Order: sequence, then C-alpha cells, then structure tokens
Amino acid sequence: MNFQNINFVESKGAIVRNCPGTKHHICCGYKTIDVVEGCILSCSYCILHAYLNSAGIKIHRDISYILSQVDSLIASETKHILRFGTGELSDSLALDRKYGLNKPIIEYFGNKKQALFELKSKWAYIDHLIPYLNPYTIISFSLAPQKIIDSEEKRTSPLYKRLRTLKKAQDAGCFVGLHFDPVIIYDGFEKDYKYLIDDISRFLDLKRVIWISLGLLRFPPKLFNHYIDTGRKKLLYGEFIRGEDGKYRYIKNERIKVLKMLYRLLKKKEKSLFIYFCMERQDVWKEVTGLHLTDSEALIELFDDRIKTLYGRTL
Amino acid sequence: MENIPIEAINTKDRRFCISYPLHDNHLLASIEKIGIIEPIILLKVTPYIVISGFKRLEAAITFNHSHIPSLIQNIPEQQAFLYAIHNNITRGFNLVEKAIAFERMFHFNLPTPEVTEVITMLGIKSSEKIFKNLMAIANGEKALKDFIVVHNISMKNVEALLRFEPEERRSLISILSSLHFTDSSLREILELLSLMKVKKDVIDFNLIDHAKTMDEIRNILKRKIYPKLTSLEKRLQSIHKECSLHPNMDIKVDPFFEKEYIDIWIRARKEKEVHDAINKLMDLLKQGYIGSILELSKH
Repeated sequence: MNFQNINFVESKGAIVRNCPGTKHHICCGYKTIDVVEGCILSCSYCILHAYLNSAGIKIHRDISYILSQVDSLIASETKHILRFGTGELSDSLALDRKYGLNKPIIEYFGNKKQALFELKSKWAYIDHLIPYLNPYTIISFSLAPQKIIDSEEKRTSPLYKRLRTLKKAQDAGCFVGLHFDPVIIYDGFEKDYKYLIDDISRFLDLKRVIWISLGLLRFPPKLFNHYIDTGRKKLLYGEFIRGEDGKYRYIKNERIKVLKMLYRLLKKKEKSLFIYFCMERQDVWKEVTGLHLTDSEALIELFDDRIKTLYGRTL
Repeated sequence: MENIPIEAINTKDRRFCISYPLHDNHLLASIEKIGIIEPIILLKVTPYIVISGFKRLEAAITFNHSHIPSLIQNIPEQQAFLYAIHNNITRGFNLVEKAIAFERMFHFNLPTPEVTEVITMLGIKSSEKIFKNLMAIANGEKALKDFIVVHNISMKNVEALLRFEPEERRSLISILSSLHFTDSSLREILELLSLMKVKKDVIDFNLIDHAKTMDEIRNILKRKIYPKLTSLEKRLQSIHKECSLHPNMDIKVDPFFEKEYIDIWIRARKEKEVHDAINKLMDLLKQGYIGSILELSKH
C-alpha cells in the first residue's frame, strides 16, 4: 500500500454531514462521518474519481471535534434512529490498522447506545478492532463477484476474505451489513451473482445481517469520460441513460430486471432480510418489492422498524 | 525596410512559424492585386530565417516574386519567437495556432514568466488537461489540424477526437468533413463512437460512411449501442402513430423512459376543442394505448 500522499488536516466546519443522496430518487437518510477523504483502494468505477479534486488523502485526526458533531446530531434527532458511517468519502477500514481512527468512534457509539455506526469497506481486516466491537457497530462489506474484484477493485481484499471477516464480526457479536453496490451488468453477471449469494448464505448467519443494499452502477458525466479513457469495457457493457439527477445509470427496465433477480435470490435464502435500494426511483421500489414508498422519509421509517426489530428497546 | 531576394531566405526553415494554415485565399487575392505592403520579419543569419510573415512569403513564391520587403532583426532565437507571437497577436489565433505556439514555447525553452505571459495572451486556460491537448494538436496529423480550423472545433470536441487512433480519426474526419454539424451534434456522435470503441473494440466505419446527415449517423450508432432504448423508442413511435393524435394534442414521454409519469398536452382555443381532445383521450384510454405508453417506462 502507498501511504505517501496522506495528509493530516485541521478539522474545520462540518465533518459529519447528511449523505448527499440524489435528486428525484429515494434515499436512506444516512449520516456520513468524513474522517478520511480519499481512498487508497482506487476502484476503477469509484465516484471519488469525479468528486475529490486533490490527489492526496486527507485525515481528520481531531476525533473529539468530530464526535461533538455526532453528539449534537444525536441530541437533536427526536424521530429516527440515526445511522452513521465513515465509508462515504473513503474506505472505512483500509487505513485503520495504521492510524487507529475507528476505535474511539466505536467506543463512543458503544457508550452512547442511541445510534448505529457502520464501517463500510472492501478491506478485510478487523482483528485490531475486535476487542472494542459492540452491538452498535455494524461491520459492512461491499460485495461483488470475484471477477469484478479482479478487474475493477484490484487493490481490495478478495471475496473470500471479506466473507471470512464478516463471519468474524458476527462471531464477535456484531450485526453485519452487505452492500451490493455497484452491481455491474456484464456478460454472464447473473450466474456470478447467483454464486455470490450462495457463498454468502454458506458463510454467514443471514439472520444477523442487519441490512443489504442493492445499487446498480451509476456515475456522473465526468466519470463517463474517465471510463472511456481507461477503456472500462465491463463498466460500459450495459445500456446507460441520463437519469433525472444528471447521472448515468442503466436503462430503467434493466435495473428493474436485475434488482428483481437479486431481491428474489436473497429473499429465497432468508425471508426476513432487510433489503433496500440505494438511490432508486419510487416506481422501481414498487415494481421490485411491492412497497409503495412515497419519499425518502418512508425508507428511513423502514430502517427504524428494522433496527427496532433487531435491537428491541436497547436503542 | 529592405527588399530581400527570396533566394537569400531559407524558405524551408519554419521554426518560428505559428500560422496555420499557410494558404490564405484572401491574402493571395490581395497580394495579387496590390502586392506585399507589410514587410516580413527576418532573422539576421545566412541564409535568412523567417520570424514572421510566412503567409506573405508563400504568396510571393506563388506569384513568382523575386524579392520581398523585409525587416531584418539581429536578436536571439527566444526573442525572435516572442516577436513572431506578438506580431500576429492582433489578428487572433485559431486553436491549432495556439497549440503550435504553445508547443514551440517549450522548444525554445522560454523562461517561466514569458511562458505564463504567452499563455495569458493566447487566452489558454491554465489546466494540465488543456496543455496535454494542445501538445497533441501541435503534434497531430494534418487532417486533424485542418478539420479543427475549417470547422472551428471546440476544445471539448478536440479532446474527444484525440481519444481515437490517428487511423480512426482519419476515417472519421473524412466522413464528417462533408456534413453540417453543430458543436453539440458532433459531441454526441463522438461520444457514441468512443463508447462503441470500448464496447466492441473496433469502430465499424462502414456503418456510417454513406450517411447523409448527423442525425442519420446518430440513429445508426444508437441502434448499435443502445438496442433496448431504440426498441422502446420504436415502440413508442408506433403507438403514437396508431393513436393518430390531433395536431393540438401530444402525449410526451421521458426520452429515456425514466420518469414514472407521462405529460398529456392539449392546446385549445374553444371549449369544443377541449371537449374533442378529452373524448379522444377517453377513446385512447379505452383502447389501452395510454396504458401501453405508461408500460414502456416499466418493462
């Protein structure tokens, strides 16, 4: 790993923010803790290629400043159970072994017991965190067929290591999250995703998976040129249109088809799984799940229900 | 000013030449009629090297002049190059000339303050990507340079053209040169072709080399690259046709079949027209046409 371009910066302004979501689509009301901005994993499709201008990685080390922002948000929220995560502008675990950024945050949420903290990653190493893990920390991994990991996520951990680490987290008493995001359409992807879901169900206790997100590949126009310039054949395999939010995404009937397939495969493994879509339209939700979500608030309520089901009154 | 014999000038040495193209019909016509009024600038070496006035020299050669009015300068090369730029700055540079001037600055190893000054003077945006594109234009093939100048191609589209191999660019330019296009229609075609190249590994120029318009090219490429979207569009067209809507009515669908809703548009001047339009819509509803249109955005 190359740690050369890592800079520690003074924490100013809002480090804890609302996930920007996207216009005209249902979003989940996630809160992001941007302790690290930038990522060493550099996946080919990553949206950070378009969003972060500086080549280096910025780390905010003033954790107490950051936690004071988390604290204010939790204190001011009266309606929902807040979900925070550090995996929006970076990978939550890729730099953690070296810099130990997550430990104080994990401990904070463990003591607070009022909100959840999600570590979202493709870097399968949590051994240094195991002594501090508590039920308020969710260990989540982005999952994709090994074929995609090999071609598009070259610097990340292989699938079997991610699954093994998720199992380790479950054994340590944590709920885990699974993110099929981005789902990429390529020749033969259906079969690969079926095998992937088979593998997941063999490795993990699906009753202790708190949530699963499904999100098909989408990207801003700036990334379209990046994919062309870097010849990303797999990423450009499907048919893309410009969504109402200006982003490129697969044509809607294809998205519905793929989401239906994944939703069915997952539900077949465990009926009680909580599956949500990242940045999807109302009618896609309805078509795939039968749920009529009128806005993002409706999805946030589904999250509240899910968390209450799993945590009871402890949260 | 002196009248210098053309044979005393090294006409092949174009180290200070930033003019592109050298052939200029207006200038030729003017020189044929009135002769060369403005002297060219020569560097005092043996034989002389032209600093500025390459087009006039070309014209003089074309009309078999034996001498050409000249100003002789005894200055270092770097300064001579700056002369060349300053001497032409008021006429304005096209993109290829800017690129040539930019590339030559590095050839002449101009000091940083001069480089910055010239970049500003030429109106070049200071960005690594732009610099890279300018270098590529300066070193590009003649067909590319001519295409850029003749069609006044924007930097964005030049960047898209540079994504192709020289051989592909040649085929593309030969197809596009005879067509009328706007900046945005060219951008769309170049985007489709780049996508075709990544998706299919090759661009089949046979598909488009008989096309008469940019729209025709776009439709051919879209059918190849977006077969599902094209088939939805076809289906919509056919339903629209079957609906035979009055000219004062329309059923508008999102061009990408993304939005959950359709817009129904009626223009009316009299109550009767509203009545007729509603009746027509009722008929279409009963016959299932509106349902079919709504379905296109789902399946």
